[in-house]
Amino acid sequence: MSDEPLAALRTQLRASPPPALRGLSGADLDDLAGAVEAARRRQAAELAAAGDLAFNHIPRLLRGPIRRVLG
Amino acid sequence: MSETFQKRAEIAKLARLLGRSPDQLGYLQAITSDDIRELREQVTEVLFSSGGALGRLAAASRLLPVGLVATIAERVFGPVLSARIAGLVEPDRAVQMAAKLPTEFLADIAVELDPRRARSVIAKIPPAQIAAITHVLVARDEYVTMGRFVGHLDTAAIAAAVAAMSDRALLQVAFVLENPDNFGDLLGQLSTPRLEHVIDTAAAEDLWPEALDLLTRLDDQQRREVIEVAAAREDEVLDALIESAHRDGMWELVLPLTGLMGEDSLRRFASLRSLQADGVLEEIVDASVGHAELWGNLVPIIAFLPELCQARVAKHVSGLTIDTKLLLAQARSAGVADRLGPLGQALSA
Repeated sequence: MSDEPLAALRTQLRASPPPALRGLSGADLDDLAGAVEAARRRQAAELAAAGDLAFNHIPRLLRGPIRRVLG
Repeated sequence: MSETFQKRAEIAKLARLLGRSPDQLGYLQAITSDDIRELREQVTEVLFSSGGALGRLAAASRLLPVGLVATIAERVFGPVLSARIAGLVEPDRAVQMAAKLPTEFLADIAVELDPRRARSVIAKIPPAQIAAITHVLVARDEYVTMGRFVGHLDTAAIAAAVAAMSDRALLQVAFVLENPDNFGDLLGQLSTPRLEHVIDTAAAEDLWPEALDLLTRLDDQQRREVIEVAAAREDEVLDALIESAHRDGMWELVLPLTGLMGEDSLRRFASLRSLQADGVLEEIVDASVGHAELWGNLVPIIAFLPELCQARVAKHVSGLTIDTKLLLAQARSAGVADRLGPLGQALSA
């Protein structure tokens, strides 16, 4: 089996996956890497959308300081 | 918990984290539960990483009044993001926010939370609020969520949570429990009527694997008490245990429990028709020969069997390639070598 699917999973996890995962098929590892990537993307998108929406609830005076903290 | 059940529980937890169904991750059955757990912790680390945007959001929330942050959490962030930020907020502030949020929303957050990262927050939530959240989680069958939390609660909060759980929920939660160190103490405090209900529920709802797993969390004294309570239930309850052990191959969990039974309970256990049914005794023998401890638990049961059943066991043992002298020695050390009928004669021959 090529190391490519395992490398993709390593990238998504930002760590070396448990060695036993080498026993899974390439398709299964691809699926796993895809599931982690999808979860990360979902979280990033939700964070970005929520950050924008939150400003509607914050008093105008505080929006500047909040933006500075958020960077 | 057996490896099969541990895998099932671990896959369920990882699936929850990834927004998948457990069936979609069925291929993970090919690796050990320890490996699945390690993978899950890596995924948790990536998603809950304290750096970056989550940390900045938590920092920004310090500039706002608690009530406003609670409103934003509920109306804008939703449970997933709130759960991931919760562990980054000062515990006292997080608890103040929790006091202003509806129980349903807190239950939503609990489902998404990594309790290890919000341990200090969870520890400060009052038991009454823990009970209210538990009620909601029980109604939603969120056993995995509760199993992740229980180990992070103090004794008063666990007591409140367990009181809020149905018997079925208690069994299911014990089954997927993480950090179970403080669970045994609590089960030790359960009243006998509650234990009887839990055991009846295990039998009626075919939850014996979960019940047996719960028993493994107890010390010998607590186990002895529970098994005596179980042994005093109706025949149907014990029949269900035997049928479940037979069907799911759980004799390695059941036999050590029979070893804790008093003589009367053991005599009754040996008299059950479900135990004497075709194939059951033979399967128990197969599961226990070669395992000194299990065989040591089985021989006292054989001693109480009718002679016809003892003969069946003798016949089955004679067909196995085993060290009969060793079996006899173990029967002697259990003090029943002279009460095994035809089996005793076969082993002595």
